[in-house]
Amino acid sequence: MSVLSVRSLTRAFGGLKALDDVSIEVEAGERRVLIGTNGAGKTTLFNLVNGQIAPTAGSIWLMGEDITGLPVHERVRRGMARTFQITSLFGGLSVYENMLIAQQALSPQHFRMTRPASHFEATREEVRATLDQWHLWHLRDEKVATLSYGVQRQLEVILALASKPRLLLLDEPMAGLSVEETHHVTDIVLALDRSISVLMIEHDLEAAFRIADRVTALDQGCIVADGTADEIRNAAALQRIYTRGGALGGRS
Amino acid sequence: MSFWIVNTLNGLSLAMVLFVLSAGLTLVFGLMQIINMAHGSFYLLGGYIALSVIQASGSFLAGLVTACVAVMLLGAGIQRLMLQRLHKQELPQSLLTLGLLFIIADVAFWLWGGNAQLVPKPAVLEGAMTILGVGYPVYRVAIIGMGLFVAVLLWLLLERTRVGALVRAGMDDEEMVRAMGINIPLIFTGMFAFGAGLAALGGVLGGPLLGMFPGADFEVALLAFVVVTVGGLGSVRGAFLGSLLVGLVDNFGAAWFPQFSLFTVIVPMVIVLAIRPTGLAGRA
Amino acid sequence: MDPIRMARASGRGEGLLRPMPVAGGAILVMVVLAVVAFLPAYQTELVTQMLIYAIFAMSLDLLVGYTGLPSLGHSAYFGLAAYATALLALKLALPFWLAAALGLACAVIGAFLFNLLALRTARAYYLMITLALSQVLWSLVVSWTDVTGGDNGLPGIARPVLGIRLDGAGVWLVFVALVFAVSTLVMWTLVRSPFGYALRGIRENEERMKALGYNVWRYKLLVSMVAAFFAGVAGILFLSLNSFVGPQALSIALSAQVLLMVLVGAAGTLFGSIFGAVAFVLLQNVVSSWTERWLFVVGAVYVLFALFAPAGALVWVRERLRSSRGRSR
Repeated sequence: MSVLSVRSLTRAFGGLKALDDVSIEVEAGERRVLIGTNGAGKTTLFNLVNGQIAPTAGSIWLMGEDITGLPVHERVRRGMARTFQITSLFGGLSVYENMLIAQQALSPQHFRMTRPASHFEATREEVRATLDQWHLWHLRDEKVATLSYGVQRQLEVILALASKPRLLLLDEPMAGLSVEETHHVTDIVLALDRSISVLMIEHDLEAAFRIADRVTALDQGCIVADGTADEIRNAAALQRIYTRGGALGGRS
Repeated sequence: MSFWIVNTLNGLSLAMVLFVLSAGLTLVFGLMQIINMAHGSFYLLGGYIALSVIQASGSFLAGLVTACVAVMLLGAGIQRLMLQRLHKQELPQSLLTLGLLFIIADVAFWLWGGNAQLVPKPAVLEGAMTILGVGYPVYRVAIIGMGLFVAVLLWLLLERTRVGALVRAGMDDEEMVRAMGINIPLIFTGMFAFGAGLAALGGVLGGPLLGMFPGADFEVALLAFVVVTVGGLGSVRGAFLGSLLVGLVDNFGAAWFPQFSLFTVIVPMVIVLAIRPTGLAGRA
Repeated sequence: MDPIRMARASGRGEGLLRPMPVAGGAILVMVVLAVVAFLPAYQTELVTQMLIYAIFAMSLDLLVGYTGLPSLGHSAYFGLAAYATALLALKLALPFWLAAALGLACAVIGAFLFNLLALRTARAYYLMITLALSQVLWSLVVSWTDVTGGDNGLPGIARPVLGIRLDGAGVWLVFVALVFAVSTLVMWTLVRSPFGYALRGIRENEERMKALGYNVWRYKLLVSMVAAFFAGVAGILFLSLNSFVGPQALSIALSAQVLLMVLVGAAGTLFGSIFGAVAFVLLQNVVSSWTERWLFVVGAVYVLFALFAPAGALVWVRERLRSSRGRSR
């Protein structure tokens, strides 16, 4: 059974179809990368899958369940997590508090208001372990807004992992990173357990091909190529969209 | 029958005063996201200044022009010196404009005293005329005409001029207009002054009907807030619809349920909001 | 690492949060008790007012400072609880405590209903709608003269009896101080709880909270009801303090005043709201003792704070201290 099944998804803004009859299956443990120029419909697809916007037509299935009409948080509770293209953290709070909020999200105590958060031993331990694991413990008291961009991008991914998702949506996790930082984030993604399926938008094709099992190319709201990383690397369709837009070098 | 005619006309004349007032409020919000709590103060100042000038000079027109110009200058100053520093910060903006509301109320009380005063009507608009067999004050009819005139003028200004196009673009996407190299701060100051001027105009027009007194600023501001909330923040068309609704409901409400005068205005607002939280013409 | 040190280490990660206010609250109660014995009646009333406004301001801080909901209609719940309590006590002759409990229930239910509407919007729209909704109650009270007394309000509510009579100013102050201490403790626990962290998360980044699986709407609704509860507590105490409630308990002016108290200190700290309430009552009394231009002065205070210390006086002072320390180094 596919972890994510997108069936004939269409989304129109006014008269313009941002996504036109797109179907994608993501299998368990698969790393799927979406590529395409700006405006190809990648982020629209993400926002539809995640539930931020509603489709004009088509349906979305998560592990065999139709989630098309569910609000964002319900999808997350069913095992979906996402990161954002523009870093989306709790800027005014510390690294520790960011992690705490992410960690307690799906725990039964998240609605408790009568006991201090610090009294929940298990969550505290998990936060500590996670921050240790990603070498962020020494930064725990730093305000997130003051961290370097590279660390913020890492935290962006790590927060999404806190809910132990079955499906992780990564929206351009390497955007704007230096070569070294890109390697770092690539390593985080490569180190992910295979129980997590990944659907990722990436402009850095080198990083994309390193991570991807399969690559899907979108252009003007339609799928124009779909195959293994090696197949796509040489695909004529891909050459065509990128040379026409001239965007290949421009973005990464 | 005459009950319906008189109350409809009364409702319409109140609606037009409210429209002139609320148009300024809603335009300022649409462009700058400022909820100007002191909008009623501009109305009050407009009325009082006109009153003093008319008493001194005997000319309604002189009063009207002086009041509008003076309040526009004040508005421009407030925007330039204060509000500009608080761009896109709703809470400090509300606090600031509330502070101005209190200050202006106190100064007005000090200058013009605590008694209600009617702004004199222009001599040519004294007296009554006959409409559908019912005698009706000329001045109220003139207000309806004036309100419609302002509505058309605003429509032409926004839809048919270059400045209007810039304002509309700024409402949609401020960054884009900024990127085009347009002097946004100037447009902001101009719009705030314009909005203040409309409030003052509302005060001058409404002054002979509603009178000027301490607390009038609050009272009309409340109605204007209801109007823009019902109509949709940032929409002139919404302000027009909202004004008609509030003006008519207020008059008929006062006629039928005199005890619940304010409440009858607010209830339709709640109903509209329950159905459309962003108002009749607001963007979702 | 031994467990105690570990707990301390991870506790440090929580930044702002220390058990200070609990100790602070206890000290404050003791100070109040000590002071009451010596205070003349006028000052006793001032202190009582400060404590009541502090509860009110802290309740708004839950919305404005912690959750980022810019409410300009918080007097609705203050006044609703006060009016409901007064009406039930006067017209139905219910015992005070029962009337007060029902009054609080009214405030909470009112918050639930109002927020079904208000929470469909955000930011400036939310501000407008909270303001408008509070005006629904105000206009009802002003126009429904037969029941509410209109502008004249409802006088003649006796202070309650709790084992001993609470109607002496000193005893009443002690009672208010106790309610204040308990309210502070409850709200302080709330903002440090998992729920409280979720509120901060919503303030900082609502979209991310949804993407983490939080039902943001439910949090906002619930915190609005909690805030309304404590606003109601303040309203009922205020009713008892004056043995009177009038339409100003539901006014925009009061909503603005309490918002100023929250912003004057430092929003999102609770302590800042206590500071704001104390400062406001002091200012009000000092100013009105030497000038009749109180309205002008309070307006000027609003303007100055908005312009120069929109993040609050405490934050402003902290930044000044920090920068002067930076320079001397």
